[in-house]
Amino acid sequence: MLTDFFQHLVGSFPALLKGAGYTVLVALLSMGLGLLLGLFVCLGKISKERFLRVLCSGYIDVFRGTPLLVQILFIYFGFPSLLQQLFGQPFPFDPLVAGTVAFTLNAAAYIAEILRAGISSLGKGQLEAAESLGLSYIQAMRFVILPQALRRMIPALGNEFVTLLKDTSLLSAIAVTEIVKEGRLYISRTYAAFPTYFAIALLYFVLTFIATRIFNRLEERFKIHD
Amino acid sequence: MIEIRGLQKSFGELKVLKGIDFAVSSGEVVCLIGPSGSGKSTLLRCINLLDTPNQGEISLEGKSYQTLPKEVKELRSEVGMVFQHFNLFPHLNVLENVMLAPAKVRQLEDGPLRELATKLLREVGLADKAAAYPGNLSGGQKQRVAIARALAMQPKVMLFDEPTSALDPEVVGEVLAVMKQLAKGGMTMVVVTHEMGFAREVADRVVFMADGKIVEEGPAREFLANPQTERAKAFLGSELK
Repeated sequence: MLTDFFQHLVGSFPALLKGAGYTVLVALLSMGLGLLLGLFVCLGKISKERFLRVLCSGYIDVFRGTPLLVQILFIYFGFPSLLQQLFGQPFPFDPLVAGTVAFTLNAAAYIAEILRAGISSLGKGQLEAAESLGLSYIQAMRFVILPQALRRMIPALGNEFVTLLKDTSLLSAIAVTEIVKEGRLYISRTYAAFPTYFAIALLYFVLTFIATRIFNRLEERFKIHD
Repeated sequence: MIEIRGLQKSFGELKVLKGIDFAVSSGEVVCLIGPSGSGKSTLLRCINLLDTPNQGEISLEGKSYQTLPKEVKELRSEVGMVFQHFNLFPHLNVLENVMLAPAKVRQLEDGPLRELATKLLREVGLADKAAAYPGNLSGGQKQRVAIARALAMQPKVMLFDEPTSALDPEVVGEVLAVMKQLAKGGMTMVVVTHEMGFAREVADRVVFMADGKIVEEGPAREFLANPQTERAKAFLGSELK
């Protein structure tokens, strides 16, 4: 019984590690792209243009107000089917790409709100000081506001990244061979559910543990002494 | 140098400035005094358009400035501002604080700019703090860095918004000393202050504001020794006690 457990724990690991590659890839890509998109969504939400504000608030509300799994299914199954109806030919969508798109769009909504909180925590004195020196709004954002806001955001971004890592398990629903999917494939061959799910949980734990440490380091490294 | 005509400013329903005409000539040091809420800070902030006036005209050296982004930017690069709460950039060290705006706005080269910044820090007595971060400075030191930072843009006018109000009494003197030195050097200055001693000693002219209007103005010593209006008398009486 015990030898069985360890045998499957070890036996499932190569497949799970391969899956972990996709997990980390999707998480990193979505985090990076989400930061970029989130930045624009955030700037839109705090802009003076009413149209941009409404658009970006709407974006945030939609992506935070609907389940991630639904978003993934919508993008992977929903959109290609709509395009197929419109243009009369199939639109195959790589599940990995669809998944990354879904995660990026979702992460951007959360990151935009994290950024907004970071910026508003600075108070208006910093922006005024920068603008009083003749810097344009964009320059003030780039050289004064965002460097500070990003530093303050590091813990919250760490949380977001850990959430992202764990949520990639949802991609098993669209056949991306990430950790969970690989695990289930292994179980279907061996019927070893307990040791495999144990290994899956362990692997996620190790990944999030490492990510948390890295973000703690970053936080320490970029601390502003004020 | 600066000319303001018919300036009006409201925040929502509240009328803060009710028609201000105000001029400062080149090399002049003007102190704006008056009770809290009289609109003196708002007037100062309208001069570099940090607050946008509802009505009125602002011109610098004969050029009238509108609230178009490009003009606002140009005006601000000619007008230095020092804030009550310093507003130094905490993620940059002292030298970087001073160098940021001239590098990005004036596109000065690094070598000459570094020289200029070092010279300015020497003038405010902080050459040895160039590598320090604002978080490690005292209030007085922060404010002196803020003055150097504004001067680095080589402005034509310097605005001071209650520059000593947030300071411990013991360091007020060092900031005022830097401002005196600046005035002596011929800088055009507009200073919102409660430091009557500074006004008496350094200002050429004192402008007394109350309820969004200029109530009385005159040469500093004369005005402070012998105000004409009841409002100014009452204010100065309470300030001196």
